[in-house]
Amino acid sequence: MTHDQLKELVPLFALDALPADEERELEAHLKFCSECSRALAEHRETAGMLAMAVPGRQAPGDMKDKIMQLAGQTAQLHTAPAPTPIKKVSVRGQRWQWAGLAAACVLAFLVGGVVVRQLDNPDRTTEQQLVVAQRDALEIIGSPTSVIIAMNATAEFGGAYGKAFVSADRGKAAVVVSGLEEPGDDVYTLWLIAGGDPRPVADFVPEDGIRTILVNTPVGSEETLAVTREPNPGNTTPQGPVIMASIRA
Amino acid sequence: MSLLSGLASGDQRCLAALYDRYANSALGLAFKVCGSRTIAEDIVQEAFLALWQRPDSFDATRGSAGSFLMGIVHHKAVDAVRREASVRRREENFAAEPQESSEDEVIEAAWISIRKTKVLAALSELSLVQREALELAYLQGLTYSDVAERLNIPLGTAKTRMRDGMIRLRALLAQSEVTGSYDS
Repeated sequence: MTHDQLKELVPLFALDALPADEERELEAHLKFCSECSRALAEHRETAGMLAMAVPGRQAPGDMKDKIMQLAGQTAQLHTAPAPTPIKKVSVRGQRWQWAGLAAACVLAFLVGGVVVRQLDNPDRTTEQQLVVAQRDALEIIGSPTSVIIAMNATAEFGGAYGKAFVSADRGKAAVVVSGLEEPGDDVYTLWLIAGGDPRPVADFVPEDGIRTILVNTPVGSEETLAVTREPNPGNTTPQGPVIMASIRA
Repeated sequence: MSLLSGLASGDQRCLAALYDRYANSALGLAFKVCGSRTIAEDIVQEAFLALWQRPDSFDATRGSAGSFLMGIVHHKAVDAVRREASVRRREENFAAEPQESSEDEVIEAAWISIRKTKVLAALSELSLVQREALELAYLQGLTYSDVAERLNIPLGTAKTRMRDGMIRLRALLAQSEVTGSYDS
């Protein structure tokens, strides 16, 4: 569904009146779309008011004691700070550390949204694409004109991290992600989000937790990069949890 | 310090205060949706514990603690209804359990009563078909497709009635300034 179609569903979501599949699709969209998230907060407030129209019921006398007792035995979980933007990190040494990381791992770059693996695709054209992609990525990572954007993990995936190196003059970006778990039957997907609409860049599987992705398209100043863990490759709308995201300052 | 920020710092007195304010309303909502006293009590207990366990999940800039809590309760109640259709068996056995009310509870009851009056007034301003669709969805835990089937109307019509009803209700409540927070 498009952003506009999903936005129409927000009031129904606040009423818990969506079928499960649409609820999942909207939940995935809400992770990226601040406009729909704001609208949902307002509609949830309205739905909460509806609850006030329902006659209250006298709670049993011992319920409060039970809840307080259970609370006393239950540790509180505090979420990590939300992803914060780091627009520019002008530490040249750090830039080359990331270039080293990109070069050290087995580079299976993703070109044009298609997973290209050296072992799986031994034909010459693919190898040429890989060589070009590898060179492009390393040059972008090493270029002092590239803007570095931190990609911070969400609370549940605190071990993951990444950096996007955005080259305005090349109209490309290189994204290096690390600390990713083996996804099993899932895949990771890199998304480019503009105006609340996520667009898949590439599906990928990390090796030793690391992957470098070449984004062969300009990344605008208003766009966000995010990585999700998807149940299926080729998803055109995010369905899985957000692992990490960049948020521009 | 608000109750929610107190909760976030692990102060159980804040949980107790929230319970005093919202437990009866929460139980009323859970029972209305799922129709089972036993399940409704479990839902309310789970909701307060969820609030205690993950206090950061509430964003004070995006609504009141009461609405947030009711949202948790409603979601759990709807889940229960859809998981087990048999819980629709009504157990109208909520005998009043006389208890002494603290001063806070009396103030809260009065405040909720005022809010309830305003919400009911706003609901009365909706068209009959909008109100009907909202009540079926919210109070009976139906999806919009269930609402369409129940009312024998197209899916799009059901969605439009519910969406327009929510938007209108929001505007009416804003006019009557009902959506204020009572959390501190």
